Amino acid sequence: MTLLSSTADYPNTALCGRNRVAYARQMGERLEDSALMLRYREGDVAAFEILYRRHNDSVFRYLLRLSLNRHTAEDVFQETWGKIIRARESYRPTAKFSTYLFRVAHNCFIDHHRRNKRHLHETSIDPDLSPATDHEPEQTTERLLARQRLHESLRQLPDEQRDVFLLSEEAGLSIDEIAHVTGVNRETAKSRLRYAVTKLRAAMADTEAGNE
Amino acid sequence: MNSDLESDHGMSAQLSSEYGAIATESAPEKLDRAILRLATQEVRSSAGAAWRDRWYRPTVFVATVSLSLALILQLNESSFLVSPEGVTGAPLSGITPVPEGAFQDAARATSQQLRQIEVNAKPSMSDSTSAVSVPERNASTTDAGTLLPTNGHCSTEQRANIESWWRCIKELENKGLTQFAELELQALLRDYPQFVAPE
Repeated sequence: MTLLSSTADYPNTALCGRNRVAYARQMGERLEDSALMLRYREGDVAAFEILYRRHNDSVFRYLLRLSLNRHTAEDVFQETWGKIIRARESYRPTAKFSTYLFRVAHNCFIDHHRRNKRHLHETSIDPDLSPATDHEPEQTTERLLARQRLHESLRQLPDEQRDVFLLSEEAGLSIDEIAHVTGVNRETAKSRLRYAVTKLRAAMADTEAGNE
Repeated sequence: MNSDLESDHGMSAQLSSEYGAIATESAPEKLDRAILRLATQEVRSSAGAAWRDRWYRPTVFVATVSLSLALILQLNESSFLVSPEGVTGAPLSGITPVPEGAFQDAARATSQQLRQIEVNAKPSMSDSTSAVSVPERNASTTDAGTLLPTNGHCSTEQRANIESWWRCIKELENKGLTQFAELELQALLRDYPQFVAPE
Protein backbone atom coordinates (compact mmCIF):
# COMPACT_ATOMS: atom_id res chain seq x y z
CA MET A 1 0.00 0.00 0.00
CA THR A 2 1.67 3.17 -1.12
CA LEU A 3 -1.09 5.68 -0.68
CA LEU A 4 0.20 6.97 2.63
CA SER A 5 3.63 8.26 1.98
CA SER A 6 4.37 9.15 -1.59
CA THR A 7 3.04 12.60 -2.33
CA ALA A 8 1.58 13.98 0.85
CA ASP A 9 4.69 14.33 2.94
CA TYR A 10 5.38 18.01 2.58
CA PRO A 11 3.20 20.99 3.26
CA ASN A 12 2.47 23.20 0.30
CA THR A 13 3.41 26.81 0.02
CA ALA A 14 -0.14 28.07 0.30
CA LEU A 15 -0.20 27.18 3.97
CA CYS A 16 3.22 28.08 5.13
CA GLY A 17 6.29 30.14 4.27
CA ARG A 18 9.24 28.93 2.20
CA ASN A 19 11.53 28.57 5.17
CA ARG A 20 9.04 26.43 6.97
CA VAL A 21 8.64 24.26 3.90
CA ALA A 22 12.38 23.69 3.73
CA TYR A 23 12.50 22.91 7.41
CA ALA A 24 9.52 20.62 7.10
CA ARG A 25 11.09 18.87 4.13
CA GLN A 26 14.25 18.15 6.11
CA MET A 27 12.30 16.99 9.12
CA GLY A 28 9.85 14.90 7.12
CA GLU A 29 12.64 12.88 5.59
CA ARG A 30 14.02 11.91 8.94
CA LEU A 31 11.24 11.61 11.44
CA GLU A 32 8.66 8.93 12.03
CA ASP A 33 5.02 9.78 12.67
CA SER A 34 5.30 9.26 16.40
CA ALA A 35 8.42 11.44 16.57
CA LEU A 36 6.55 14.18 14.72
CA MET A 37 3.65 13.88 17.12
CA LEU A 38 6.02 14.11 20.07
CA ARG A 39 7.55 17.23 18.56
CA TYR A 40 4.10 18.69 18.14
CA ARG A 41 3.40 17.87 21.75
CA GLU A 42 6.39 20.05 22.59
CA GLY A 43 4.86 22.88 20.58
CA ASP A 44 6.33 22.35 17.10
CA VAL A 45 3.46 23.18 14.74
CA ALA A 46 5.54 22.47 11.61
CA ALA A 47 5.93 18.87 12.77
CA PHE A 48 2.17 18.55 13.04
CA GLU A 49 1.75 20.00 9.57
CA ILE A 50 3.97 17.29 8.10
CA LEU A 51 2.12 14.63 10.03
CA TYR A 52 -1.20 16.01 8.91
CA ARG A 53 -0.14 16.13 5.27
CA ARG A 54 0.95 12.52 5.44
CA HIS A 55 -2.40 11.26 6.67
CA ASN A 56 -5.11 13.77 5.86
CA ASP A 57 -6.17 12.31 2.52
CA SER A 58 -6.20 8.70 3.65
CA VAL A 59 -8.25 9.56 6.74
CA PHE A 60 -10.65 11.57 4.63
CA ARG A 61 -11.09 8.77 2.07
CA TYR A 62 -11.57 6.24 4.86
CA LEU A 63 -14.34 8.35 6.40
CA LEU A 64 -15.85 9.20 3.05
CA ARG A 65 -16.18 5.58 1.96
CA LEU A 66 -17.18 4.42 5.40
CA SER A 67 -19.96 6.97 5.83
CA LEU A 68 -20.91 7.21 2.15
CA ASN A 69 -21.76 10.83 2.88
CA ARG A 70 -19.49 13.78 2.18
CA HIS A 71 -20.89 16.04 4.91
CA THR A 72 -20.59 13.31 7.51
CA ALA A 73 -17.07 12.57 6.36
CA GLU A 74 -16.10 16.23 6.70
CA ASP A 75 -17.65 16.54 10.16
CA VAL A 76 -16.02 13.39 11.47
CA PHE A 77 -12.73 14.31 9.81
CA GLN A 78 -12.64 17.61 11.69
CA GLU A 79 -13.66 15.94 14.91
CA THR A 80 -10.95 13.32 14.53
CA TRP A 81 -8.12 15.78 14.00
CA GLY A 82 -9.52 18.02 16.70
CA LYS A 83 -9.26 15.14 19.14
CA ILE A 84 -5.74 14.33 18.02
CA ILE A 85 -4.73 17.95 18.53
CA ARG A 86 -6.37 18.32 21.92
CA ALA A 87 -5.03 14.99 23.18
CA ARG A 88 -1.43 15.71 22.19
CA GLU A 89 -0.37 16.30 25.81
CA SER A 90 -1.35 12.76 26.71
CA TYR A 91 0.00 11.16 23.53
CA ARG A 92 2.34 8.24 24.19
CA PRO A 93 3.97 6.41 21.27
CA THR A 94 2.92 2.97 22.44
CA ALA A 95 1.55 1.91 19.05
CA LYS A 96 1.95 2.96 15.43
CA PHE A 97 0.64 6.51 14.98
CA SER A 98 -1.59 5.43 12.08
CA THR A 99 -3.24 2.80 14.30
CA TYR A 100 -3.91 5.48 16.89
CA LEU A 101 -5.17 7.93 14.29
CA PHE A 102 -7.54 5.50 12.60
CA ARG A 103 -8.80 4.25 15.93
CA VAL A 104 -9.76 7.81 16.82
CA ALA A 105 -11.36 8.24 13.39
CA HIS A 106 -13.24 4.95 13.73
CA ASN A 107 -14.55 5.86 17.19
CA CYS A 108 -15.53 9.35 16.07
CA PHE A 109 -17.46 7.86 13.19
CA ILE A 110 -19.25 5.38 15.48
CA ASP A 111 -20.18 8.20 17.90
CA HIS A 112 -21.35 10.41 15.05
CA HIS A 113 -23.36 7.54 13.58
CA ARG A 114 -25.09 6.92 16.93
CA ARG A 115 -25.88 10.60 17.40
CA ASN A 116 -27.24 11.13 13.89
CA LYS A 117 -28.78 7.79 13.03
CA ARG A 118 -32.00 9.33 11.74
CA HIS A 119 -30.37 11.97 9.60
CA LEU A 120 -27.86 9.87 7.70
CA HIS A 121 -28.33 9.68 3.97
CA GLU A 122 -26.06 8.29 1.37
CA THR A 123 -24.74 10.70 -1.21
CA SER A 124 -22.81 10.10 -4.37
CA ILE A 125 -19.08 10.07 -3.80
CA ASP A 126 -18.25 10.38 -7.47
CA PRO A 127 -14.94 8.58 -7.73
CA ASP A 128 -12.42 9.45 -10.38
CA LEU A 129 -13.26 7.02 -13.17
CA SER A 130 -11.46 8.84 -15.90
CA PRO A 131 -9.55 6.38 -18.09
CA ALA A 132 -5.81 6.34 -18.33
CA THR A 133 -4.55 7.56 -21.71
CA ASP A 134 -1.65 5.16 -22.12
CA HIS A 135 -3.78 2.08 -22.84
CA GLU A 136 -5.62 0.77 -25.85
CA PRO A 137 -9.28 1.94 -26.01
CA GLU A 138 -10.52 -1.62 -25.36
CA GLN A 139 -8.36 -2.03 -22.28
CA THR A 140 -9.39 1.39 -21.07
CA THR A 141 -13.06 0.48 -21.23
CA GLU A 142 -12.44 -2.73 -19.32
CA ARG A 143 -10.60 -0.90 -16.61
CA LEU A 144 -13.31 1.70 -16.37
CA LEU A 145 -15.96 -0.96 -15.98
CA ALA A 146 -13.90 -2.81 -13.37
CA ARG A 147 -13.55 0.33 -11.36
CA GLN A 148 -17.25 1.08 -11.56
CA ARG A 149 -18.04 -2.45 -10.35
CA LEU A 150 -15.50 -2.15 -7.55
CA HIS A 151 -16.94 1.17 -6.53
CA GLU A 152 -20.47 -0.21 -6.44
CA SER A 153 -19.43 -3.40 -4.67
CA LEU A 154 -17.66 -1.39 -2.05
CA ARG A 155 -20.79 0.66 -1.43
CA GLN A 156 -22.85 -2.50 -1.08
CA LEU A 157 -20.55 -4.19 1.40
CA PRO A 158 -21.84 -4.43 4.99
CA ASP A 159 -20.45 -1.60 7.13
CA GLU A 160 -18.17 -3.87 9.18
CA GLN A 161 -16.64 -5.48 6.11
CA ARG A 162 -16.20 -2.16 4.36
CA ASP A 163 -14.60 -0.79 7.52
CA VAL A 164 -11.92 -3.50 7.72
CA PHE A 165 -11.24 -3.34 3.99
CA LEU A 166 -10.75 0.43 4.15
CA LEU A 167 -8.51 0.16 7.20
CA SER A 168 -6.42 -2.33 5.31
CA GLU A 169 -6.26 -0.27 2.12
CA GLU A 170 -6.17 3.31 3.37
CA ALA A 171 -4.25 2.89 6.61
CA GLY A 172 -2.20 -0.16 5.62
CA LEU A 173 -3.00 -1.81 8.93
CA SER A 174 -2.36 -5.48 9.69
CA ILE A 175 -5.09 -7.86 10.86
CA ASP A 176 -4.05 -7.35 14.49
CA GLU A 177 -4.09 -3.59 14.11
CA ILE A 178 -7.48 -3.68 12.40
CA ALA A 179 -8.79 -5.82 15.26
CA HIS A 180 -7.43 -3.25 17.72
CA VAL A 181 -8.95 -0.32 15.85
CA THR A 182 -12.37 -1.89 15.43
CA GLY A 183 -12.45 -3.42 18.91
CA VAL A 184 -12.98 -7.01 17.80
CA ASN A 185 -10.81 -10.08 18.10
CA ARG A 186 -8.31 -11.10 15.45
CA GLU A 187 -10.40 -13.89 13.97
CA THR A 188 -13.43 -11.66 13.54
CA ALA A 189 -11.37 -8.99 11.82
CA LYS A 190 -9.76 -11.60 9.59
CA SER A 191 -13.10 -13.13 8.70
CA ARG A 192 -14.63 -9.76 7.85
CA LEU A 193 -11.74 -8.88 5.63
CA ARG A 194 -11.88 -12.25 3.89
CA TYR A 195 -15.57 -11.75 3.07
CA ALA A 196 -14.97 -8.23 1.85
CA VAL A 197 -12.08 -9.21 -0.38
CA THR A 198 -13.93 -12.20 -1.78
CA LYS A 199 -16.94 -10.09 -2.71
CA LEU A 200 -14.85 -7.37 -4.29
CA ARG A 201 -12.78 -9.84 -6.28
CA ALA A 202 -15.94 -11.56 -7.41
CA ALA A 203 -17.32 -8.24 -8.60
CA MET A 204 -14.19 -7.57 -10.58
CA ALA A 205 -14.18 -11.11 -11.97
CA ASP A 206 -17.82 -10.71 -13.08
CA THR A 207 -16.81 -7.66 -15.02
CA GLU A 208 -13.98 -9.53 -16.71
CA ALA A 209 -16.25 -12.51 -17.46
CA GLY A 210 -18.97 -10.24 -18.85
CA ASN A 211 -16.47 -8.63 -21.19
CA GLU A 212 -15.34 -11.99 -22.49
CA MET B 1 -2.68 -4.55 0.98
CA ASN B 2 -0.39 -5.94 3.62
CA SER B 3 1.53 -9.19 3.35
CA ASP B 4 -0.45 -10.87 6.10
CA LEU B 5 -3.59 -10.62 4.06
CA GLU B 6 -1.90 -11.60 0.87
CA SER B 7 -0.60 -14.79 2.37
CA ASP B 8 -3.88 -15.58 4.11
CA HIS B 9 -6.23 -14.87 1.29
CA GLY B 10 -4.17 -14.88 -1.82
CA MET B 11 -5.45 -11.43 -2.51
CA SER B 12 -4.01 -10.06 -5.67
CA ALA B 13 -2.28 -6.77 -5.97
CA GLN B 14 -4.83 -6.04 -8.69
CA LEU B 15 -7.58 -5.31 -6.18
CA SER B 16 -5.33 -2.89 -4.36
CA SER B 17 -4.28 -1.14 -7.52
CA GLU B 18 -7.88 -0.91 -8.75
CA TYR B 19 -8.95 0.47 -5.41
CA GLY B 20 -6.04 2.91 -5.53
CA ALA B 21 -7.26 4.05 -8.93
CA ILE B 22 -10.72 4.95 -7.68
CA ALA B 23 -9.60 6.30 -4.31
CA THR B 24 -8.30 9.63 -5.45
CA GLU B 25 -10.25 12.00 -3.24
CA SER B 26 -8.39 14.52 -1.14
CA ALA B 27 -9.34 16.30 2.03
CA PRO B 28 -10.94 19.67 1.21
CA GLU B 29 -8.58 22.62 1.40
CA LYS B 30 -10.92 24.51 3.76
CA LEU B 31 -10.66 21.63 6.25
CA ASP B 32 -6.88 21.60 5.93
CA ARG B 33 -6.75 25.29 6.77
CA ALA B 34 -9.21 24.95 9.67
CA ILE B 35 -7.33 22.04 11.22
CA LEU B 36 -3.89 23.59 10.87
CA ARG B 37 -5.25 26.81 12.36
CA LEU B 38 -6.68 24.85 15.26
CA ALA B 39 -3.34 23.09 15.76
CA THR B 40 -1.56 26.44 15.94
CA GLN B 41 -4.12 27.96 18.30
CA GLU B 42 -3.93 25.01 20.65
CA VAL B 43 -0.15 25.26 20.87
CA ARG B 44 -0.36 28.98 21.58
CA SER B 45 -3.02 28.59 24.25
CA SER B 46 -1.15 25.75 25.90
CA ALA B 47 2.05 27.81 25.79
CA GLY B 48 0.18 30.46 27.78
CA ALA B 49 -1.02 27.85 30.21
CA ALA B 50 2.48 26.44 30.50
CA TRP B 51 3.80 29.90 31.32
CA ARG B 52 1.18 30.20 34.02
CA ASP B 53 2.09 26.80 35.41
CA ARG B 54 5.83 27.33 35.24
CA TRP B 55 6.18 30.95 36.34
CA TYR B 56 3.02 32.57 37.56
CA ARG B 57 2.23 30.19 40.41
CA PRO B 58 5.82 29.85 41.68
CA THR B 59 6.21 33.62 41.48
CA VAL B 60 3.08 34.16 43.54
CA PHE B 61 4.27 31.54 46.03
CA VAL B 62 7.72 33.10 46.39
CA ALA B 63 6.23 36.57 46.74
CA THR B 64 3.88 35.38 49.47
CA VAL B 65 6.68 33.66 51.38
CA SER B 66 8.95 36.71 51.04
CA LEU B 67 6.31 39.10 52.31
CA SER B 68 5.50 36.77 55.20
CA LEU B 69 9.16 36.56 56.19
CA ALA B 70 9.55 40.32 55.95
CA LEU B 71 6.53 40.77 58.17
CA ILE B 72 7.83 38.28 60.74
CA LEU B 73 11.24 39.97 60.82
CA GLN B 74 9.60 43.34 61.22
CA LEU B 75 7.55 42.05 64.14
CA ASN B 76 10.63 40.50 65.77
CA GLU B 77 12.58 43.73 65.47
CA SER B 78 9.79 45.76 66.98
CA SER B 79 9.47 43.26 69.87
CA PHE B 80 13.06 44.10 70.95
CA LEU B 81 12.11 47.72 71.31
CA VAL B 82 9.36 47.15 73.83
CA SER B 83 9.65 46.00 77.43
CA PRO B 84 9.97 42.28 78.15
CA GLU B 85 6.30 42.15 78.88
CA GLY B 86 5.45 43.63 75.53
CA VAL B 87 2.97 46.27 74.67
CA THR B 88 0.00 44.23 75.79
CA GLY B 89 1.51 43.32 79.13
CA ALA B 90 1.70 39.64 78.23
CA PRO B 91 5.13 38.03 78.66
CA LEU B 92 6.94 37.52 75.35
CA SER B 93 8.00 34.03 74.51
CA GLY B 94 11.71 33.28 74.80
CA ILE B 95 12.35 36.04 77.37
CA THR B 96 12.73 35.02 81.00
CA PRO B 97 10.94 37.51 83.21
CA VAL B 98 13.06 39.15 85.92
CA PRO B 99 11.86 38.24 89.44
CA GLU B 100 10.02 40.99 91.19
CA GLY B 101 12.28 43.04 93.53
CA ALA B 102 15.51 42.03 91.80
CA PHE B 103 16.11 45.54 90.54
CA GLN B 104 15.67 47.01 93.99
CA ASP B 105 18.06 44.43 95.51
CA ALA B 106 20.66 45.14 92.92
CA ALA B 107 20.35 48.89 93.40
CA ARG B 108 20.66 48.52 97.15
CA ALA B 109 23.76 46.37 96.84
CA THR B 110 25.35 48.79 94.43
CA SER B 111 24.77 51.79 96.64
CA GLN B 112 26.35 49.93 99.56
CA GLN B 113 29.30 49.02 97.41
CA LEU B 114 29.73 52.58 96.28
CA ARG B 115 29.62 53.85 99.84
CA GLN B 116 32.30 51.33 100.67
CA ILE B 117 34.43 52.51 97.81
CA GLU B 118 34.07 56.13 98.82
CA VAL B 119 35.15 55.34 102.34
CA ASN B 120 38.16 53.48 101.07
CA ALA B 121 39.03 56.08 98.51
CA LYS B 122 39.03 59.17 100.74
CA PRO B 123 42.27 58.53 102.60
CA SER B 124 44.10 57.47 99.51
CA MET B 125 42.95 60.55 97.66
CA SER B 126 44.49 62.71 100.31
CA ASP B 127 47.65 60.66 100.27
CA SER B 128 48.94 60.38 96.76
CA THR B 129 51.44 57.72 97.64
CA SER B 130 48.88 55.25 98.76
CA ALA B 131 46.94 53.29 96.29
CA VAL B 132 43.28 53.66 95.77
CA SER B 133 41.67 50.46 96.64
CA VAL B 134 38.99 49.58 94.24
CA PRO B 135 37.15 46.52 95.42
CA GLU B 136 36.86 43.58 93.10
CA ARG B 137 33.57 43.36 91.46
CA ASN B 138 31.24 41.28 93.45
CA ALA B 139 29.37 38.88 91.25
CA SER B 140 26.33 38.94 93.43
CA THR B 141 26.02 42.65 93.15
CA THR B 142 25.37 42.89 89.71
CA ASP B 143 24.72 43.18 86.37
CA ALA B 144 21.98 45.62 86.87
CA GLY B 145 24.22 47.91 88.92
CA THR B 146 27.17 47.81 86.59
CA LEU B 147 27.33 50.20 83.69
CA LEU B 148 28.88 48.27 80.90
CA PRO B 149 31.25 49.92 78.47
CA THR B 150 29.79 50.54 75.06
CA ASN B 151 31.48 50.68 71.68
CA GLY B 152 34.93 50.24 73.20
CA HIS B 153 34.90 53.30 75.42
CA CYS B 154 33.46 54.35 78.72
CA SER B 155 30.43 56.56 78.82
CA THR B 156 30.19 59.93 80.51
CA GLU B 157 28.25 58.35 83.34
CA GLN B 158 30.96 55.78 83.84
CA ARG B 159 33.59 58.51 83.84
CA ALA B 160 31.62 60.46 86.48
CA ASN B 161 33.61 58.92 89.31
CA ILE B 162 36.83 57.03 89.63
CA GLU B 163 35.31 53.77 90.78
CA SER B 164 32.88 53.31 87.90
CA TRP B 165 35.54 54.42 85.45
CA TRP B 166 37.97 51.87 86.79
CA ARG B 167 35.25 49.21 86.64
CA CYS B 168 34.61 50.13 83.03
CA ILE B 169 38.31 49.78 82.24
CA LYS B 170 38.34 46.34 83.83
CA GLU B 171 35.30 45.40 81.80
CA LEU B 172 37.08 46.43 78.63
CA GLU B 173 40.05 44.31 79.60
CA ASN B 174 37.84 41.38 80.37
CA LYS B 175 36.29 41.73 76.97
CA GLY B 176 39.71 41.65 75.36
CA LEU B 177 39.55 45.31 74.33
CA THR B 178 42.95 46.01 75.86
CA GLN B 179 43.82 48.92 73.58
CA PHE B 180 40.64 50.70 74.54
CA ALA B 181 41.28 49.84 78.15
CA GLU B 182 44.75 51.39 77.87
CA LEU B 183 43.35 54.55 76.36
CA GLU B 184 40.72 54.79 79.05
CA LEU B 185 43.37 54.20 81.73
CA GLN B 186 45.50 57.00 80.28
CA ALA B 187 42.48 59.29 80.32
CA LEU B 188 41.76 58.25 83.90
CA LEU B 189 45.33 59.01 84.93
CA ARG B 190 45.12 62.40 83.26
CA ASP B 191 42.03 63.28 85.26
CA TYR B 192 43.16 61.58 88.47
CA PRO B 193 46.96 61.69 88.46
CA GLN B 194 47.10 60.36 91.96
CA PHE B 195 45.18 57.20 90.99
CA VAL B 196 47.00 53.97 91.53
CA ALA B 197 45.56 50.88 89.99
CA PRO B 198 44.69 48.31 92.63
CA GLU B 199 46.18 44.83 92.44
